Amino acid sequence: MTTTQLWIAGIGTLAIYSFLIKENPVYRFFEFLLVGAGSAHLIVNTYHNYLRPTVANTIIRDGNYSMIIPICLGLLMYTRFIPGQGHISRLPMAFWLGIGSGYLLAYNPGPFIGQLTASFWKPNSVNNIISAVLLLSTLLYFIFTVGPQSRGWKAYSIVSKVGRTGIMVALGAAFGSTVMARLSNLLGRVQFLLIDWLKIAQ
Amino acid sequence: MGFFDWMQKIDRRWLYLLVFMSVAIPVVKPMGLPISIGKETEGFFAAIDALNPGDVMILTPEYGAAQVPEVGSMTTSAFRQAMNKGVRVLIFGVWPDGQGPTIAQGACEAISDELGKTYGVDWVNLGYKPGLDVTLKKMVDDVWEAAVGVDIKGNALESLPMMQDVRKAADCKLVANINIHGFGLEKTMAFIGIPTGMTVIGGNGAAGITEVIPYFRSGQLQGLLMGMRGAAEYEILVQKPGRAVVGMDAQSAAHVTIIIFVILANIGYLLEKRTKAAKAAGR
Repeated sequence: MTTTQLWIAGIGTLAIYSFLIKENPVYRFFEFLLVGAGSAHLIVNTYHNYLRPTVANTIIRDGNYSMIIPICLGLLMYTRFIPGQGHISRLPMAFWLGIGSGYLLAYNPGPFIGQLTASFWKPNSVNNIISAVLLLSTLLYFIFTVGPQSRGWKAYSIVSKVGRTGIMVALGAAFGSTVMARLSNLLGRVQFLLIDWLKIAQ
Repeated sequence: MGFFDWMQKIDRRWLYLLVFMSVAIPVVKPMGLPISIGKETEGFFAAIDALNPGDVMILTPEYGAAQVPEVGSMTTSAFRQAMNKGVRVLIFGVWPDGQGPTIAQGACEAISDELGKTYGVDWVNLGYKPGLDVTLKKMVDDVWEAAVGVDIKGNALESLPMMQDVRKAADCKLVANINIHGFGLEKTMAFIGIPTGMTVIGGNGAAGITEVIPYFRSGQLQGLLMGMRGAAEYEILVQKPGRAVVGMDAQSAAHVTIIIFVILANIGYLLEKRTKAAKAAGR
């Protein structure tokens, strides 16, 4: 990064963190700047890397005119800005949902089936036994069709509580991991401020 | 007012400052805490190491600028390992923020220059290609068509020697997805790994680890880098320690600080609860 870029990034970092002290106009300005720059990056990236070559290469050079159909469908999305014609935008949306559902149904079972077969553990270690118990008890916890009378069964209640404990452990682990991820982000900024910008560390 | 009463009422900005200091001090004055290598990281390293010179691997950096400190070095370390091994690398991204391949380009160019490699011959970056599932599926059928015939620099794929050997994803031997969410790794497995039978390895931000670690345990993933810790382990394995290794001291110090806060807060909460119960009983 050039010196100017370093200073913009450094001041921007401090401005964003100033929110921790108090909401302020400088923070607000840099927040909008970040959102604007991110959106602009995506638009420019998509245009140069996909839209322009699609029109120039695929349609005009290669004569693949069928590509005009999805472009027209995409443009129909903007009819929601035309008073009284907004319903037309549901056509491409319906097409999109159909494609998405089809892909999910076709491809998502792959990883899931792998997980299912991998859950048939041999009871030859403590970890495997704990995993099997938690898997079954968690599944049981989510059986909502069991009637209120059955819910009164002591055995069901105990297994269900074990399942709930398993869920809480999993959520705790997920939360801990998230805290770790956020600290990594903070660390990245601190390294930038102290090493790259202020050069008071190596 | 006792210590815990005072703690309950403390301005949270003091806590922010303490967390900041616990991160900043080890950055200025590293402690050099030891880092052991986990089997997940070893699996990631071994999967690339098992490739032969001339093979092509896919590297998909799917993250934005904010996540670079955590997962950025996973991409550069994987690229470095591949280049050192003579493995060719095809980079692209389909994740909607579209920043990953652009961010990776600069870092990979620096490594490529350092190791005397040539863009277009030893590696190609196709850049961000929108479409997510549809584009991933298209990569399996026809990489050139999915990339609409151009790389990140706007070069025609016909002009890049490496791309003559890569017409579909199955021409590659391995796919490494570096992501911040578990979601991206699942999609890579579903749309590229399973249909082609290709080896899949992944690097994930810590926030998504609990989602993807079952895939490593089940053997669906051959290797997994878990958060900045995984990145640091991998930097050690590729013998190029960087920011992730340096950052481990700071991360450990910050974790200890937060754990102390959590313990103190819980003690304070329990004491407050007991005091209220005692007052209620006294009435």
